[in-house]
Amino acid sequence: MERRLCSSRLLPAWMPWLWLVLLLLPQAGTALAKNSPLPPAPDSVVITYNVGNPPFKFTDRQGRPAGILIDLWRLWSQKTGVDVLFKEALFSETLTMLKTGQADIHAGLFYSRDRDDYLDYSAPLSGLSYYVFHHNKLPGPLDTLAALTPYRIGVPRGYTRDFVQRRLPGAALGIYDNFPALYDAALAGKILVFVSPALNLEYHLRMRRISSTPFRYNPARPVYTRVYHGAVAEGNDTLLTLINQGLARISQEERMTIERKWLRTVRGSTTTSVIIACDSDRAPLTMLNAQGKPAGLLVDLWRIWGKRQGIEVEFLFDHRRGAIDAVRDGLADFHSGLAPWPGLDLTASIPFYQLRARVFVPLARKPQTLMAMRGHLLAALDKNLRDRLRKRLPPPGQVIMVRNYTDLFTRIAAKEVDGFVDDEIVARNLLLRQGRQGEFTTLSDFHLLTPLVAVTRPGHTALLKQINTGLKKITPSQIARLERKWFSDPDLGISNTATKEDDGCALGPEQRSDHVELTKEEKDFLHQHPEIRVGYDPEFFPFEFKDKEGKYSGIAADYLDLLARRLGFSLRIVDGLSWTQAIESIQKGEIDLLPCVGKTMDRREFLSFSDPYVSFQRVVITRSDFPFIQDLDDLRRFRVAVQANSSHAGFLREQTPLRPLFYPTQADALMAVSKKQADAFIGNLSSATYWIRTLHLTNLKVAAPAQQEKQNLHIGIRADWPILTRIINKGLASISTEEENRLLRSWVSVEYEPGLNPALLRRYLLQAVGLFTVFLLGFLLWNRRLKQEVRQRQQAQSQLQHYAAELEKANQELKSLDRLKSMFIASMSHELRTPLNSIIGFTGVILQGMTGEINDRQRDQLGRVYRSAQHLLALISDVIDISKIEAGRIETFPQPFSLNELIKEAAAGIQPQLQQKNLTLSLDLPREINLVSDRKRVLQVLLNLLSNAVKYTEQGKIVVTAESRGDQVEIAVTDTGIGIARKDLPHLFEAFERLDSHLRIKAGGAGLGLYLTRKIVTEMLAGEIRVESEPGRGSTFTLTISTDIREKGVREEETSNAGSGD
Amino acid sequence: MRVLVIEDNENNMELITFILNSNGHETLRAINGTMGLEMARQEKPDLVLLDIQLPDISGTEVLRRLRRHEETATIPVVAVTSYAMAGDRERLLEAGCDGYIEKPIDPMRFMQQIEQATGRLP
Repeated sequence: MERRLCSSRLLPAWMPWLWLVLLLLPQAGTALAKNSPLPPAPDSVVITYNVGNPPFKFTDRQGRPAGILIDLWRLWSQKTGVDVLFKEALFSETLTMLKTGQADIHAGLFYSRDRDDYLDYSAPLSGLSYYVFHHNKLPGPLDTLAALTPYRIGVPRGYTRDFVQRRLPGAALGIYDNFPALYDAALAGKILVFVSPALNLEYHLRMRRISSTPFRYNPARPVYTRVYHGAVAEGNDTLLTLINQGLARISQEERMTIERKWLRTVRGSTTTSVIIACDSDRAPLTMLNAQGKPAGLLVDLWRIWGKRQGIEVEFLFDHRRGAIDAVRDGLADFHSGLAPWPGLDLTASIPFYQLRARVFVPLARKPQTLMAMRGHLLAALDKNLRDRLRKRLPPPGQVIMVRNYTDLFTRIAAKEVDGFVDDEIVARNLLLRQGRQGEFTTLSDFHLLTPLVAVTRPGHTALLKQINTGLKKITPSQIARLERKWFSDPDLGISNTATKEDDGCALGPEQRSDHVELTKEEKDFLHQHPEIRVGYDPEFFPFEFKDKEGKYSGIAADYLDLLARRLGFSLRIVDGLSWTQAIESIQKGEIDLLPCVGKTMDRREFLSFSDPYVSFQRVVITRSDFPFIQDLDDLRRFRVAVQANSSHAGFLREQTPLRPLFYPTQADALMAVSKKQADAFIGNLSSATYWIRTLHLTNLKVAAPAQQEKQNLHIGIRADWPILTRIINKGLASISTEEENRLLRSWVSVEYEPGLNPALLRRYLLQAVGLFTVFLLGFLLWNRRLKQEVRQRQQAQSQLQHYAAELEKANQELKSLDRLKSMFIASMSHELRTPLNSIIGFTGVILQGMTGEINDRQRDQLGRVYRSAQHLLALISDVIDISKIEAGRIETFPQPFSLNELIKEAAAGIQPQLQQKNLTLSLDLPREINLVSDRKRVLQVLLNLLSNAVKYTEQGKIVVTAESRGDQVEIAVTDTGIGIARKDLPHLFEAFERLDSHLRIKAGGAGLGLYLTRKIVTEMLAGEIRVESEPGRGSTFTLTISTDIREKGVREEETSNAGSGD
Repeated sequence: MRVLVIEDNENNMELITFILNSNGHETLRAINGTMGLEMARQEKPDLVLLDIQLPDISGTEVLRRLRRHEETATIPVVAVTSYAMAGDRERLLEAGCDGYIEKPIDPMRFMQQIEQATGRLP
């Protein structure tokens, strides 16, 4: 039995465990002692380990001890309750440390007689089998030492060299300093046979990301096996007994789990990475590059997929059949991409890419069409293509299967076959590499589009779901980018992601463009101008920008991509222009189109505008300490920064008396405000938010909307080409709502990647606060806008019937705005909460002293972090609730419960704050009241009222009463606090309303509590809330809610989507 | 006590296992539902802490499968889940959950919450 060693391939599970027999022999005696009490144990021991012995013991990149033996000792520590402290050293030093008492235990070494003088060895820890490896071009079998005599044998210095020399006196040896040096020599072809443990080699290859090697060995015939023992200084019997009893408590299963973790000899349970099988001979889709590393379009695509899904990916390479068999055998989790054929025994993902197959024939044959190939013999490398070509080839022509390209070209050279069918991109790439591109031509009447799917073994539904979800997130522009990277001739690419099972790959781009009906004149125009030159703003995130790889990206880029494919023109993206230069270029006629521009008067002179396709909110951004402004009029006396040549600049010039300062980029303009060189910035909310975050400008805020209406963005086309504007408008009209959603969706979630280093706690918190402020203000402005639109809509409706059409349009916009808002909030809420959970959790751990003593000042300061984070979390939760209620996306969960108990629960919850302020709380609950209502929400409302009462009361008491009145119940919270002035009462329940500014400082908060409370009461609990108050005397908040909300028809619509927001 | 923690967020995992370890409990880690089920069957922990939003199968499903399997049917399970999952409490308790802890995890109260949820001394 011989097999090839791939880093991802598996050893037979039982073979390397032979040493376990050795291990279990001495354990048989201790097995009885398994449950007997341990001898008196020290609190902790120092374990020394020699570095550079992966995967058994080494220091990892983060400087931590790592490896199989290290994990084993950690487990031992858990079993015995003895803490372990690891100390790394060179091997000779580890021995000295034991002798001098600097260390108690050696993490693992082999038995040798001379060390026996000063060491006592523990029971075996782990075994290591050494094998003979040979290059697969050598004739086998070469699995014994004796068979190696004709070759120079690679060995590392030390025991292995001595062993081989003893057994094969006179053999030629290639001696290397250590195993890695030996492996490098072998991989470089300097030696063809060597002796090594399979585990070390496998680990080395994995670390080097080498996926397959030409070396084989026979796992059934280890040359010898050595065993790692722990060791203590001679005579330390108590510790030795403790070690052995602790080791006896480690089950065989646990040992295997540890070894699997490091070597993954058995796949599945302890690892998160997936192995993807790839065809090694399918450049530019999948291949091993000159360094032996996985490369190609599909390799990149799966890496993107892995990143999106948070899964580590590894690639296993084999030739065509081998790669598929690897999936069948479970060596790989799925195949990177193939065209499925009927009867395939594997489960397919959604199609995610497509290839065009063509028939290639030698030029010398002067063939033209498939029809002319009547009676010829063609070859295929793939069953799917063979079957599909057979249907089209006129009889008596035949299609045969060939194994690989070598086979194929031999047969073509021998004129046994007349041509072959293959995926065009793969075949052309191959011919190019062989310098034979001039020798073949393709038949003009055969184009076969085949979908690519990933395939897994049947039954792996969770994995399949993950594959599909991740694939759906990959955007067309990402695919197009990969094509540009990997294809010598990007025209060969398809740039098409089919994200739905029912459409997609069966349709080529040609069929798709049929959706748009163009006039003859328009078609002629496109024919004459097949390439449209595009200039763009490299910093207009997320609409259009230059990404990290220097490629044109963004919402507009995706739209333009779709339009180009659908309308059948190609794009030439003119790079390296600033926005100002782009505007100048189109005026000079050097470019034809600007994909994302706002309308201004002076731009009309040189641009014609398409219909709007995306919009933004224009806002004013100031420093956080800048006085409150309501609108642009308030900015008259201040310095306003704006990006030169932007639509915002045009807007300021044309519609306001402001004289702004111009900056070349948005980032510069924002920086200027941050550094107090200017006072306010005018720009769009999305881009500004992006730059504020990217540049870490923590002292800025969104101060006010610059305009009530949202601003539309258009495609700007050079003014002398109105016909192109018409064509583009037709293209835009053909984009379905679903496609639109998809295009937008991919940009909403793109930039957030959760993950937090607890050490960056403070910085992170600051960022989170900054981010949240921006988000919160943005959201409230958005909301205000929504309300205004609703009001306007109602007025218009009552006024004039014949404005119905416009109303419909406004309605649509409103809906899309609302949808955007919900999407935004849904994605933000989770992202904001996740890091906060860590901040609160880890701060709490430190505060509790669980990680060690902290001094009083640290406790005080960390306490502030902790409370601020809790506060921020509460605010975010409020915002999520408000947005859900407003979007009609919140569910109520009516259930029967006792109101008295609930009030007691709320009272208990507020107890800490009460004690802090030395206030008393009395409950006046004359009789048992039972409700059928949303318990969680009632509790939330009560807690909110109680915490307000405590917050605004300095002395006296708080009273809660509850009384039922018919089908309603009245709950009142009365305090003896500062009270509320009469003029403030009407605004009390509005967002951001708080009373005197000195309270603001004292009580903190964004003023969302009562706003939310009222929303919950009126919209979820079928009730109302009112307040009575007298300044200086106190306030009473009275809640009247229904005893049974099921009867009140509280909003239950649209509940199917609810409840999954976080 | 041996506690199996099924949680996909690395930070939460670190936090939960740290608190448990500091209180002298042994922890087993599973970062998705499938792995969690497998480990529960193999290791038979004394308690399972279960995140409800998992990357592969939902926590509710994990719970159901734990309950269905004879070997794991009696292991106490406490759900650890995020906010905004109103109604889940009932659903989870119905599915056989022994208790319910809402995120964010508060280290000051965590052990006490487990105690309350399982009715046993941690």
